[in-house]
Amino acid sequence: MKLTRKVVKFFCSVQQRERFNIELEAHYERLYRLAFAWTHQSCLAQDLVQATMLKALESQGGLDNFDQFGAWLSKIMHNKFIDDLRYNRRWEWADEAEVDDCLAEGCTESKLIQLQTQDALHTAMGKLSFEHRQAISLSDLQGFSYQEISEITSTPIGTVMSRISRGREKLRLLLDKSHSEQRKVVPLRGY
Amino acid sequence: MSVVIEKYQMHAYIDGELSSPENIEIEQAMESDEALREEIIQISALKRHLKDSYQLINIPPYQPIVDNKKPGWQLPKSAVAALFVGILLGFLSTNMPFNKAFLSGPNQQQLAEKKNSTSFRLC
Repeated sequence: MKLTRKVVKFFCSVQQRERFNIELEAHYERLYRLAFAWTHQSCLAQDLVQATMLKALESQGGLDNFDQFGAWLSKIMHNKFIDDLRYNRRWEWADEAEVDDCLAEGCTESKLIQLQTQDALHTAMGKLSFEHRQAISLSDLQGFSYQEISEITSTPIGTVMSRISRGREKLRLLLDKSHSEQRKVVPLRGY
Repeated sequence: MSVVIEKYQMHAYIDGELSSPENIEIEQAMESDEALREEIIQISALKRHLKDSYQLINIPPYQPIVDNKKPGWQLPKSAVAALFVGILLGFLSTNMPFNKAFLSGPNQQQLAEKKNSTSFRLC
């Protein structure tokens, strides 16, 4: 099977390769947004996107239909991310308290993240479990159907439905909590 | 009798994942249930908010990737080739007729012939 793919890759026409590169470039921004939602950090998102694109180039012979290019790339990224998460332990989550300290100090990356997304949403997304965050981002950022998400994540469609529902509910609760904390008014002491 | 709409159904409705009869069922329930309507509006707003927020992120410029990586099978293939050549040479060196003779040493007939030829020369 692997040998067949190598042979297909070798004999892949120039036109097909050009189309592949065009499609890859067209999907880059969407892929980056997804990676950013998953990794929660800009530099990790860049690494993940680069690794995904490299893997996609290596296994382009396995792509049968360009209509499914987005889902195919997302699947590669999902596998790559899970591999790294499980085996390499590259994507260690930062402690929320540390992130807060970092924000207070005003480190460049955090400032950038703060600029890039609305802070409350970004923080709330970071507090979700990876499964919930992944299901929500695939649905809301990428616009994949439940069936496509099920295929990308290799989970039953019922699980996808449950993850999206529970994830969004948790996200809502976290955002409500965050808003209520922001609105908290400290009364001035009268002299 | 009011129909109970589950949370996952609301989310699936917003994502457009329900069948037509299920959609109609939810829409009819929304007409009479204000809380349900409010709930669905909030979920929908959250979905839009999430999408809009991630549209604003600063994306680094695209850098095309050139596949310079050597295929992973090159080393094993060369190793297998070297092993094959080694086995072949070993096989040939032990099975060729002249080597067989060399390795097994002279037999009795050859020794006798040699002796005769030597004695003839001496005469």
